[in-house]
Amino acid sequence: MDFFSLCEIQKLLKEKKISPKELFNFYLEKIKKHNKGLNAFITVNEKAFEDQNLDSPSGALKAIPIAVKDLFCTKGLKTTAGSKALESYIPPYTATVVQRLEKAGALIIGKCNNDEFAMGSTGENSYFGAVKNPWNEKHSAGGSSSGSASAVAGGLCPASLGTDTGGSIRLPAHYCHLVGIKTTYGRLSRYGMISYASSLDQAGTFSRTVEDGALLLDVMSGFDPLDATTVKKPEPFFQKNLNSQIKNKRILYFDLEGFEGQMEPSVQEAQSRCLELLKARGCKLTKKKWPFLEYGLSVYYLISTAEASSNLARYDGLRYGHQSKKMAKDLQEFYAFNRSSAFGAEVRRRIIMGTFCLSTGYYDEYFHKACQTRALIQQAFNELFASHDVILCPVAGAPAPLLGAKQTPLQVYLNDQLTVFANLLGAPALSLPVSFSKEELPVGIQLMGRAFGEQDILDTALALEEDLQINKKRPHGF
Amino acid sequence: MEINDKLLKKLSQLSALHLSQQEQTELKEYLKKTLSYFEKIKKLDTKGIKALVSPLKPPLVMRADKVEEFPHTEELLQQAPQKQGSLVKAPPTV
Repeated sequence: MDFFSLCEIQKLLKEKKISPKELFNFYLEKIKKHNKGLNAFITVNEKAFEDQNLDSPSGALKAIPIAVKDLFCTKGLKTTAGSKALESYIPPYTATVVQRLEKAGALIIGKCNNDEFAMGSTGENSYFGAVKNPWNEKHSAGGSSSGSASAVAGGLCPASLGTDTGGSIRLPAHYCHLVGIKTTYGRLSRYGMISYASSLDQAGTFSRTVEDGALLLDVMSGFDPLDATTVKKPEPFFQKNLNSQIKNKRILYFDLEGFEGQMEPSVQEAQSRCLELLKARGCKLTKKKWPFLEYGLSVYYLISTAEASSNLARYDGLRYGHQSKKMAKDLQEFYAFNRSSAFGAEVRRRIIMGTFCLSTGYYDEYFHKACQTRALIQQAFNELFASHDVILCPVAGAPAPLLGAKQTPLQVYLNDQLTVFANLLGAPALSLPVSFSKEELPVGIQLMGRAFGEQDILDTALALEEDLQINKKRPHGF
Repeated sequence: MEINDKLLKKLSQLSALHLSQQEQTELKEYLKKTLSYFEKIKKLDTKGIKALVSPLKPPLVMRADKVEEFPHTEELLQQAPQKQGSLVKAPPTV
């Protein structure tokens, strides 16, 4: 017995070819078999099935196990953010997007491992150990939503939630042969989603198919009075409106002059293949220079570290979370002892960088300048989206790197060059499986849309998915 | 701009992070290398450009300013590592 997609499972449940209990136990067994090797889950919620409200009305996700990145608060279920700071934290409330999944009948089967406080792109920055890629366990599953990607790719659950601040859904999706979707800023509520950088963070999905992702977005989207950055828009019907007939869609791709590092042949070939397929479907293709490509990463890291230094100030060990055993002489020393023993190295680096950018004498030169540059980037992309519907580009220059590769922080940051723009713009973007490298590692492609243009990128992704017929491939042994 | 011990001490105080000698050395190196990369944005002409602090501008959401009972005090107090009655315990501030 095995399942491919969430939509397939819905059908089997409806036709009573599998019972909800059998389905839940199937995935629990998969987790028991594989999680020790992958380290995808920090917490497994074995009681999710017996705890469910069986009297609740039928929802689109009834009885479907979904895993959730450990950055989303779940009432009564440990939520760690991948950090010692919240090692034993049990939230008294549940994040809005998770509540919406539960209201639709989903069973939260577990909390997935991630880079600490969403800071990382290789899945190696978690207090709970690195996450492995099911396609090759010597390689990274990506980050920061490492466990969410590894769990779906390894078949431990049919879909999962992640978060994306600079590429933390799209990069793991590219590394793990998954559809990874980050929505427009304001489409999904951030209430209960542990903050890293508040003007960049957005929740999103991992799934095997575009349709599964569209279904999950339909369930979760919408205004939330508890998150003032969510927008009041009519309820979307992404799944119902999916349409792969995309003749005349205007696709923009880029000359990548200014990209730092190698663009591997497998990544270039993936892009070329997608462009051929889209041309065959009657799309209009245009190539232009990527505006401000060489500046995006700097703008992203200056803004995100500044926002992170502010957001992580709340972890003082006083009201909740890790508290040091060292005796402090006063409150300031107490905070310093608690925080210093709570955070890992990358989190500490980014807090210090962010504190620097916001400090007197440097604020104008760094943080303010970065925010002005962000405005220039938004202007440039608004002009592009006036005459194009979808941007197509690589997710990163290469497939998944080896775990334990010796790299400086800046070298790791360079993985995000092509993904940070969607976050700076607040634009929707996704990664779609396309092919495999010579080393048999997955290669994906990125699609970016204008604000609230999810339907455009979903339709284009669906068309490519139909033509490529590659998403059914599974890693060996899973 | 000089990345030196004085700067690290100031950042350590502002961020309430205690930094060991080794970490201070590593952080100075990290700040130098990373900021040197970020310096490129200074080449751009941003004169007169308003800083963008949020990617989209939804309208300001208001709610009625009325007092409501908060039912979760006990649940929140359960989280505190040290407490005394309904108070969270902390070291002296003076």
